[in-house]
Order: sequence, then structure tokens, then C-alpha cells
Amino acid sequence: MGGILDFLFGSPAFLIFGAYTVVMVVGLGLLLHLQLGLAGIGNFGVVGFWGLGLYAFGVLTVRYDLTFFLALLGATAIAGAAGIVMGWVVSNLDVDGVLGATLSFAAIVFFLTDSERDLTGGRIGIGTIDFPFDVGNRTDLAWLAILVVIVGALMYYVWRVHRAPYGRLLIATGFNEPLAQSLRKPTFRTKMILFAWTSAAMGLIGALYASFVHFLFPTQVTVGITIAVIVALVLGGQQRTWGALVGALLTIALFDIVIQLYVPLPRTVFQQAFPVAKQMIFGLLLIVLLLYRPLGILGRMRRENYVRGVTHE
Amino acid sequence: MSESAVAPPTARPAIHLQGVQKSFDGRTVVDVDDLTLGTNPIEGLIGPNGAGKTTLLRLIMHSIKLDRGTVSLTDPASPNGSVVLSKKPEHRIARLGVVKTNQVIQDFPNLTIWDSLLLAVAEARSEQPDRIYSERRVIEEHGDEIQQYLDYFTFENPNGFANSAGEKKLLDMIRCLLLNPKVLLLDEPTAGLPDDVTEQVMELIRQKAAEGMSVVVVEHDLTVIWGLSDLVHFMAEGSVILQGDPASIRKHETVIEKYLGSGHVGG
Amino acid sequence: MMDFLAKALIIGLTEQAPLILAAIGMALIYFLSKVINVAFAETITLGAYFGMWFNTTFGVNFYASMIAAAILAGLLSVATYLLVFRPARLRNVGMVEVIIISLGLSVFLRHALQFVFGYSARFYDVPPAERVSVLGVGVTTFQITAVALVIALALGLYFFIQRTNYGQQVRALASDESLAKVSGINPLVVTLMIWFIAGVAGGLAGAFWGVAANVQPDLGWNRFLLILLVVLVGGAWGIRGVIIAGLGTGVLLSGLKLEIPPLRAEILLLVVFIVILKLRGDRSSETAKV
Repeated sequence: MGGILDFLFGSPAFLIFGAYTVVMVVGLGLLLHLQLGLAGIGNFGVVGFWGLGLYAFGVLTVRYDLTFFLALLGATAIAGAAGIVMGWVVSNLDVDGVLGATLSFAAIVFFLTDSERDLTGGRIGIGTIDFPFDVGNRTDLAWLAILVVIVGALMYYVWRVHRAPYGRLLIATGFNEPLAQSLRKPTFRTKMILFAWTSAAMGLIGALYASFVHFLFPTQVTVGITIAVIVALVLGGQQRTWGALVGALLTIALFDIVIQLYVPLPRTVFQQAFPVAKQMIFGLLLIVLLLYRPLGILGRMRRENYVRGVTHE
Repeated sequence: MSESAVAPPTARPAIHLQGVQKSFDGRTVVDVDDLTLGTNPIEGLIGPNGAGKTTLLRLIMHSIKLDRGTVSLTDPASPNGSVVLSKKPEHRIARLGVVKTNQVIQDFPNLTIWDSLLLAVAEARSEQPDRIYSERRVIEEHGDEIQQYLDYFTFENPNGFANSAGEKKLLDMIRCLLLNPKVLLLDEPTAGLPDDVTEQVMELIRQKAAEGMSVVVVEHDLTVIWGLSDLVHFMAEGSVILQGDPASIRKHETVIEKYLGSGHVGG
Repeated sequence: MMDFLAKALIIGLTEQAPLILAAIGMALIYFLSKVINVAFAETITLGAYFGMWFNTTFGVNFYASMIAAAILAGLLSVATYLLVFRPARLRNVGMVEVIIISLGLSVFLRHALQFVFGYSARFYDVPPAERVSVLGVGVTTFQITAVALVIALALGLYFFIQRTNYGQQVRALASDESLAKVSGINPLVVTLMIWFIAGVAGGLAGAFWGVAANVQPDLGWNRFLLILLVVLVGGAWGIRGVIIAGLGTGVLLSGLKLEIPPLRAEILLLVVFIVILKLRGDRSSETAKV
């Protein structure tokens, strides 16, 4: 009992940081689940949309002095606009084209954080981005709570989508697009619109992160985020609502929180060898998983459990 | 190029192909100068393998692009008159009233039987990202219709997945029927089906045609063709070279030589 | 104007010859096995490391270590095929999933190598390369060697694939595998050969990049996107197309950098690539199934 209270109220900041990363990866994973697990869009540029929201929020707040909500709206809109453009680009490309285009987009965002240094501060970074409110020295915990609410709502939304005609349309598009088209489904438009609003949501999540970390650097906007999200989603199960959650708990929560807190290793190990070993294990996990259990821990969709006809009312 | 007198049909939805050509790797697969499909309730399209029948249907559905020519749809009941299908994107063709089943089994992995059929009937407005509670409405509006089809045919596990090639073929057809098309293109709808189910399919086709749907059937099982068709088109090497009622086509020398002579079912 | 073009051409060719080598390697795998192998970046990186290791451990000159690097990289490439990509093929893993698998392999190799070679940058132990002036542009002898190797490899591959018996088997296997098998071609032998050659090309590229700057874990990964784009853009016209695309990319990039800030040049290049990818469209199934 004391441990829980300790955890909630007296815990070190990096525990909150670890938990925040878990929840954030779950949020991004849910969005990637819609794009990839359902609609079949192999988006390898997740960090690009998240990073665009992150830096757009930073720039709007620090350089243009916008209020929190205006900056949040602006950042989300910018990420959404990029999502519309990239959605249009990728929605009729083959797998290789989507890979090339989304990777390029993420690289462009990364380069922009350095090339437009008048706006972004380049490698020096940009800050300070304060929380929009202050509840004492555990405001970061409050911020975590806000993210939990948002990602929780997103999870409920995804859970409902599986049980709605929209979800069925996404699955039909992802698993047999020509057949869906012959049944009058506008698959290009569906994919493009999906990509647009999910990119906006990724940008929103990025923008919220800006307030959490207070300082932004280009090194935050690298492919490590994309890989973390893909590993979590694939490990948990890319076809399942809970996939990202299960995967994030088993990767980030396990490595960034549990092992770092409770496994007694020397400090120097944690600084150098541990992050490298962690990535090595993630890479190995991806290979082994996709070879032997491509649908992850939770396995295939089980629509027979919840698709109901007339007789099931 | 009629070979015998066919009773003048009443005005029905019809598909017109004009100057249509399609080649693959330099080989002409379809070359149809002037063809109208659908003026009779049920029309058959037969011919040897490689004659281009499936390619012709795909050109109508615009799932492959025409090299030349136009395909259009006329519906006397519609105020729009004639619509050029070959200028429309693939997903509009079904919206305009032309649907096709598949010769090679096509299905949606992970979707149950009810999923498949609900997908076909659901309107675009129910399938929007913000409409996460509209499943109930779709079932209320279309559930009975779907249930009728599920009762008409026997599915082993109607609340689960289609478990055989035959069931997937039936699903393919029911999906198309649920779209209430003006023109229904059937590509070997009874291939691989047991005889009693084939009878059911034929009965269903007759009923739909009587209700005003124009049906075009491609089949190698000629008992189906002779049993259903009011008019038969014979296609070979990319063109329709003969048209006529079943009796005269059946006896025609060219047909026998190019097709029936090879020991065909129902020949 | 002509002077500018000539300069850009020379700079492009000499600076990006390794890019062309790498692109040829990755393209060979792409054409034959139809996979985008993200871990090819690590074949390149490890080529650089192998060469550096030979050079610093045995004190041999660059060219000797380059050969060792090439052979070891070729073997590594074959190993990844046998251990990862072939099993994936045999299990009918989907296209997106194979890419993710190769991404996992890339991440794995990129970090595993750090436990062998260390976390920080390593260096070749070679005397500074002599510089020569070609049309007013200073190029190193290493760069000239790289260009020569590109030409040699390109010509060699052309003759191999177009004019020899084995080359014919490669072409047959690439275009229609079931037919090729029926004609008695052993897909495994042919595939291993191509993956080996691809590894050699990648390893050479890595060695050149490594000797020009330094050898660090991200060497190949940092360049992967560019190599991928060259392969996708030029791939429609075979190996020739890849070479031209590589050359074009190199020239374009170097030319742009002469005029605008380097980061913006990279961004502009990527935008151009996205446009070309969009124009390239969907190359997956040219035959309809519905």
C-alpha cells in the first residue's frame, strides 16, 4: 500500500516520465493500428507527424507567443495539413512507395528542425515551454493524467470503431481494396481522410509532449520513436485494439521503468550499454515475432465475437 | 450479327461497348466493335478459355483500363440517360448500378459472413469516422433482407465465417445482389457448386431478372446457360462473333467447332 | 554554365560513387527477391567496420582492407538471407511485415555491432589521400578508385546478367520463379550469388564512406533513405536506371549544395523524391484480380 502512494505522490520524476512515454506510445500505436493494422497503410513516418506537432507547438508558443490553446490548435492543424498532403500522396502507392514517401517525410521534418533555425533554434533547441497551469511541484503528474484521459478516450474510440461500419470499411480497404472498390467503397478517399485525421491526432500528442519536456531538440525527432511505436504495436498485436497497450507495457514499461528501477546494475551500464542492449532486443523481437507470430501476442481479429446480425439482438 | 429472330425486348438497363480494345504484352485480348449487353433479361456469354470473357467484364467494371473505346450504361428509367462508365473511377461503377461477381474467389479475410453483407449494404453516411454508433441502424434497415438470403442458401456457420469456396462464391453474389444493381455481371457463378445449390442460384437469377435487373452470365457449365439465357453471345479470340437464342447457338457449326467439340458439359 | 555543370558532374560523381555502389547492391536484392532490405544499411556499415578492423589490426593499406571488407560484407549479406529473409519467404510473410522485419534486423545489427566495435566513432589508419585536380575540382585517389569500381561493377554486372548462363538464370528467376524452377534453375544458388554480390557492393560503399570520414554505427543508416529513393526511382529501368538515378541524385545534390544551404538542399531533394514516387504510382499488381 505504501508503495502505491509512494509511486503516486513521492516518486522520482523519471517514473512519471517513463509512464508518460508508455501512454504516449500507446496513443501513437492506436493511431498506427488504424492506419496499418486495419487500413493497410505502411506508415514508417510516425515520428514526422508527431515531431511536426511538437515543434509547431514550440515555435508557436515561443516565437509567436500564442496562448496554449491557440498553439495547440495550430500545431494540430499543421500536422493535419501535412497529413492531408501525405495522405493524398500515399493512398494509391504500393508498399514500397509508401515506405519511401513516409520515411522521406519524417526526414524532412527532422531536417527542418535544424535548417529553419531562426524559427526552431536549430541544434541549440527551443524553449522554455511551460505548463499552461501550475499545481505545485507535481504538475507533471497532472499532465500525465490529462494524457491518460486523452489516450483513454482514443482507445474507447478505436474499440467502438471495430464495432462500427467505419471499422469494417477500413478493414475491407486494407485487406482487399479492389474488391471493396467493386462494392462502391471510395477507398482512396477513405485512406486519405483516415491518414489526415490520424496525423492531426499524432501532431496533437506531439504538441502535448512539448509542454511536458519544456525544451525541444532536433534529436527528439528521430526514427527511434517510430521504431518504438512499431515494436509495441507488432508485439501486442497490430490487428487488435489492445495491441498497442500490451506491447507498450511489455517494451517501454518493462525496460524504461521496471528494469531501470529494480534491477541493480551499475550506473555506467545504464548510461551506455543498457540503451544499446535495449534496442538490440527490440530489433530481435521484431524479427522473431514477425517470423513466428506475425499477429503478435493478442493474435488475429476475432470479429465473430462481436459482429451481430438480426438474430443476435 | 444475329443468327435468328429474337423477340424485341422491353427497354431495360443495358451496357454498350463501342470500339473497345485491350491488349496485354502486345497480344490483343479484347476487340469489340459494337456490343450491347442487357437488352434481354438474362444473357449468356460463352466461349473457349482465353476468349477474353473475364477481361471484357473487367473492362466494363473499369478495374482494368481500356486501350481504346468507350463503355456506357443506359437506363431508360433514369433521368440521366447514358453514362460513360469508362470515364469513371472503379468505385463509382457499382454506385451507378453495375456490379460483378468474381471468377477467382475474392473475399475479405477477417470479415465474417454478416460483416461481408453488412459491408455491401451500408451506405456511405453510416461509414463516416464519427459515426461510431451507427451499426445498430444499419442492421435495423437491412438485417431482414440479409437474413432472407442467409435463409435461402444454407451456410454452415452463418454467424461465423464462410468456410468453403462454394460459400465464398455465394457470398460474392449476395453482396452484389444487396447493392440492388441495374446490371448484374456474373462470372462463372456456379463453378464448383453442388447441383442443388446451382438450381437455387438459377432460380434466384430468374427472379431478379423478372424484377427488372439485366443479368449477364459467363459460364462454362452450358446447362446453366441454355437453361437461363434469352440470348447467348459467343466470344472467341477477343470478339463476339455470334449472337442468338440458345437453340440456334447450340447447333451452330462454328460454335461446335471452336468450343463444344472439345467435349463440354451440357454440349 | 557549362563550367558549373561540369563541376557539379565531377563533384557529384566522385562524392556519390559509393552511393551508386550501394544502390546497385540494394537494387540487386530488390529486383531478385522483391524485398526492400532496410538492413542493407548495416551491410554497408559493417563493410566500413570490417575494412577498418582489417586495416588497424593487420596494418594493411586501404585497398587490401577494402577487399576484405567486401568479401566479409558479402558473406554477411548471404547470412542475413539464410537466417531471416528466406524463412520469411517460406512462411509467406506479407510485404509490409518483411519490411518491418528488415527494420528490426537493421536495428539489431546497428546496436549489436557496438558491443564488438565500441560505441564511439572509429577511424581508418591510412595516410591522407593524395589529391588530384580534375577539371579544377580536387578529388582524392580514393574517390577515383570508387568511381573506377562503380564502372567496373556496372560493366561486370551488365555482362554477367545479359551475357552469361548464370545471368540468364538470374533474369529468369526474377521474372517468373515457378517457371524458372521448372526449367531446372536452382533458385537457392542463384539467390545466394546475387545476395553475395549485393553485399560486396554495399561493403565497398561502406569502406569508401568510412575512409573518407569516420566509421560509426549510423554510417549506413544515415544514408539509407537516399539509397532507397535511388533504387525506387531508378528501379523501373533496371540496373542501368539505378546507376543513372544514383548519378542524377549525386549531381543534383551536389549542385544544389553549391547554391543553397546544405540542409535545405537535402529537403528539396526529398521533396523531389516524394513527387517522383507519386508519379511512379502503384507498381505492385499490374494485373487486376477483380
